[in-house]
Amino acid sequence: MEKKITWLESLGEGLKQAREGKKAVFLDFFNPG
Amino acid sequence: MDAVTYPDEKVTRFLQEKFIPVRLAHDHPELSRKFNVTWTPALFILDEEGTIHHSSVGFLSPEELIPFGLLGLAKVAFDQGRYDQALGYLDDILEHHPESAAVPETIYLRAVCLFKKTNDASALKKAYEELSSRFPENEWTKRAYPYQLLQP
Repeated sequence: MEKKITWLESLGEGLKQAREGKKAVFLDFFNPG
Repeated sequence: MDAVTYPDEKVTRFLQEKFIPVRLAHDHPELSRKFNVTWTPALFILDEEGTIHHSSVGFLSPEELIPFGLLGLAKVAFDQGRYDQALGYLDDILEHHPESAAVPETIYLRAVCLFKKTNDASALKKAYEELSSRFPENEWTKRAYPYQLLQP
């Protein structure tokens, strides 16, 4: 089964999870249009 | 990125295992200005406090995205003084992504890590020699130029 990246849509939530998981954040600004 | 890079199985696994992936629209009312986003894709590697350690603008292929991420992780570790961890990420790039555009900067940063760890300047001189031999016109070769003058 194809796996997809689970993107968060909130930087604040991403930083919270990064602190909890001792990980870095990969932040992508994209053009949805 | 959505058509080629992000669906790639290795990229998906790499981003999911090594990072918290966050995606925002380029016109996010608050954060696009804070990060000075004027073109997409705009990619940033942040530590857990939100400090930027590495960034890129424009398309990255699957073959380039993984070394870009590894270099970002190395920079986070380097900036936080965790030189052994940084060296692990940098060696990963050199071993598994030897054709990547990230290699010249990796060679440079690896030498700086070794110097910070050991205070032995020979690593810097060796890095210049390798860079000037393999990548004579690269910007990282030019940045390493003074290291050829160091005494062993």
